[in-house]
Amino acid sequence: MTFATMEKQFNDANCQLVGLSIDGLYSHIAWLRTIKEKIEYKGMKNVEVNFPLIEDIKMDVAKMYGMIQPNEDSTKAVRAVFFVDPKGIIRTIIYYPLSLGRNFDELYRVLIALQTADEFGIATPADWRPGDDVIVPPAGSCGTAKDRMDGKEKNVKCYDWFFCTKPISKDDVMKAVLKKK
Amino acid sequence: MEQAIQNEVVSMPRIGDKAPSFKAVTTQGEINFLAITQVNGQSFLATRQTLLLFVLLNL
Repeated sequence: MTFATMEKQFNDANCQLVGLSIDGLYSHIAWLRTIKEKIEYKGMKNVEVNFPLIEDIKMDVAKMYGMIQPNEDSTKAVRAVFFVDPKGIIRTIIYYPLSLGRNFDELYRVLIALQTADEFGIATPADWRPGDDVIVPPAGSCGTAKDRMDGKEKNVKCYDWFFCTKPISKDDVMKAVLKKK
Repeated sequence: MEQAIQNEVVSMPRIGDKAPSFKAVTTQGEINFLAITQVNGQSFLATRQTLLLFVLLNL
């Protein structure tokens, strides 16, 4: 339900959602109808799931993606999230046990951070949010390292020669990420 | 039986791997994941700079 309510936000950030559940198509349809017509939870109601939900009653796809983890449960898929980029490469994997709900704000942060890293050629530090400083790639030569430590690279702040950051505004991040649409 | 289940553990994909492709039925028609060009009128891969988030939902 939570993901469905955030679908537009994810779509706007160049992301298409695909769901999967170990159940048959008709169970899926009944479940989606129940969510829309009967469930009211945490202020969410009349929620319509507009992204495809894969039926996987034989667990073929779930096994392929390592979602069946027998020591957790041999007939239920653990909660998992895969970010796959436009080249079909897996960029992030997050697994949760069955008892632990996902954090959708974190998933959105991952989505923005992955695209920011690609767009600007940087890395993001712990707990990064759009607007926070980012990590620039380590200096590839002694000259670059010296220039950075001497403060010759504009807007780059070095804590040591191998660890330098620079600011990227939230506006710049969101413009870069949302511009692709 | 338990041993059989233990032995059934399949390999898990890793970051940087090509995402495993598959064909499946969905609530919005069939998809051919990673060969997808269109599902329900929406483009997935290759046709635009779309970062595809594939998420498992549990019933």
